[in-house]
Amino acid sequence: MNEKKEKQQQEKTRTRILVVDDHDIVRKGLTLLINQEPDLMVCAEAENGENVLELIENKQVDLAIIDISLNDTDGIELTQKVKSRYPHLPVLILTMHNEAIYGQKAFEAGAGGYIKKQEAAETIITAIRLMLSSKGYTSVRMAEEL
Amino acid sequence: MSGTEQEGRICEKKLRILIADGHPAVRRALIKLINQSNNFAVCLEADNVPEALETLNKQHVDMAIADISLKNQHTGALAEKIRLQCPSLPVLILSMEDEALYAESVSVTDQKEYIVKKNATQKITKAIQYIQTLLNNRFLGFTVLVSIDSGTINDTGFKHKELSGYR
Repeated sequence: MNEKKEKQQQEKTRTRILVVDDHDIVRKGLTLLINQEPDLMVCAEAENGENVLELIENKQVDLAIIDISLNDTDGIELTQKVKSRYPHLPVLILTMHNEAIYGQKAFEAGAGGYIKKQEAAETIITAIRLMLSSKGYTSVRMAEEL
Repeated sequence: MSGTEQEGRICEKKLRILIADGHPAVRRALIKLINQSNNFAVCLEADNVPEALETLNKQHVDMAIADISLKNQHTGALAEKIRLQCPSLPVLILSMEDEALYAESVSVTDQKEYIVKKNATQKITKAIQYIQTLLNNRFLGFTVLVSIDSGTINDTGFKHKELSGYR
């Protein structure tokens, strides 16, 4: 099997992740972080909420990672939209905002997890895996508050 | 030669950069972007102020790129401390926030460069090249407020707020 076909085969088995963040540097970094995992890949990126529903449909997304602050909408509102059309799609909120302020709202909107961008790379990957195993993710502190 | 030795030698020939940012994804992207260049190399990274200062004590760097808000520190804390510890070291400030929110504090703390992260991937190399030009022209202690957010840049991509002192 040539290299290209092998790569295509590997991609078929990887979990497909959509990253929605208005900072291109964050999208790029997350993509690097996620793509180094053999079973995960970023299949699509968006800088705002405009085409997110179409991307989920067309790119066969298995998990969406959504920032709270976006240019044209906020991540909480976008999560609501996504969950109303794709109720089974796991949504992980990845943000720099304090969970004490936005965490509850994110879960009410249908997010299954909430993690801060400042968390270590390994913690972000762990959160993604927990989301995929339907366990959801919150920090210890937030779990206690909830 | 081991990979580390090889990287060390490559690093020696390039402009050595310290990345201090509390967001691992951002650090990862910056390292990738900067290391693609023939002239620059990220030789050190830190995710908090004490770690960054300790690193600067031990190793020589030509430039620091710092997030404006690092863990448990006020806005611009690292740049202030770098200024005390290494007064001639240029610092490029990155921020998640829009320029207007932080421009004043950046100016007050006498930072040297400022970038909004929204445009970082397109502009980071250009900004570093700009600082390199200033260094090559032996500018030191300069105070330049750089805005490379869309709509506020001039033709060169940079806007001087103030330029003071050179040797």
